[in-house]
Amino acid sequence: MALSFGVTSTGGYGVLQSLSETETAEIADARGADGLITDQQAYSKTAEATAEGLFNSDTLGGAGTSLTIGSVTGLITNQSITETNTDYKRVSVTVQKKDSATQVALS
Amino acid sequence: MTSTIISSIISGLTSALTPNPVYATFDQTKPFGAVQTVVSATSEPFSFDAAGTPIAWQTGVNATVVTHQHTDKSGSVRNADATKCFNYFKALTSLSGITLQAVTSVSQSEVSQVDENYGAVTVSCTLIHQ
Repeated sequence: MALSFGVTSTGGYGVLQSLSETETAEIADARGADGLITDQQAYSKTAEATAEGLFNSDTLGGAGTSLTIGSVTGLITNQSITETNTDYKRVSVTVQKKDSATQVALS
Repeated sequence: MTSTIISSIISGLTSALTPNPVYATFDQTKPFGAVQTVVSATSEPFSFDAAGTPIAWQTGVNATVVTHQHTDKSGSVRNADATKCFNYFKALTSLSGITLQAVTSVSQSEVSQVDENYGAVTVSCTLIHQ
């Protein structure tokens, strides 16, 4: 059994601490007269990936720009930098890709 | 790593506590009535790279000021050196041998007993470093 330890993806978002990828689907429900769902139809899928790292002066694109995190290439929907007086400066970036949509980044 | 830190702290505290000695272990041969400070440290990883390898450490340093209860009944000698240790840790901004990034805590303990006749006050600090 091959287990994977650590964050295996690489990228320019600092010293990677964690990476997560999430897929969600939008689903239409059809209900019968008794309120029970009789049919479900998935009609759209969203892939989202979030990377968290220790900030190491890597250049960050900023919200609205395109970035690949893990297996998701999408637009940055959230980019946050956190500084506290008891920890290293941290950066968190989230990208999102919906279906096979053509994405246009902020210019 | 801790030995490097202990050596650097001993060097710094030796200056701060002159002429009282600072050691890495309790000196049983010191004469009756002597005051001495013993420095110890423990390190653990604080931050890791993507593969899980430590890249920064958190080290707890203890400086224990020890005096004989008979010759230092009031504890004034002990307290004076403990205060100097406290101020030394509080003002610490760099240490040779490591890249010191922060001193996140400095604290001082109550008086405790060492052996039968010695009283001790421990001043502790937490260092974040690479």
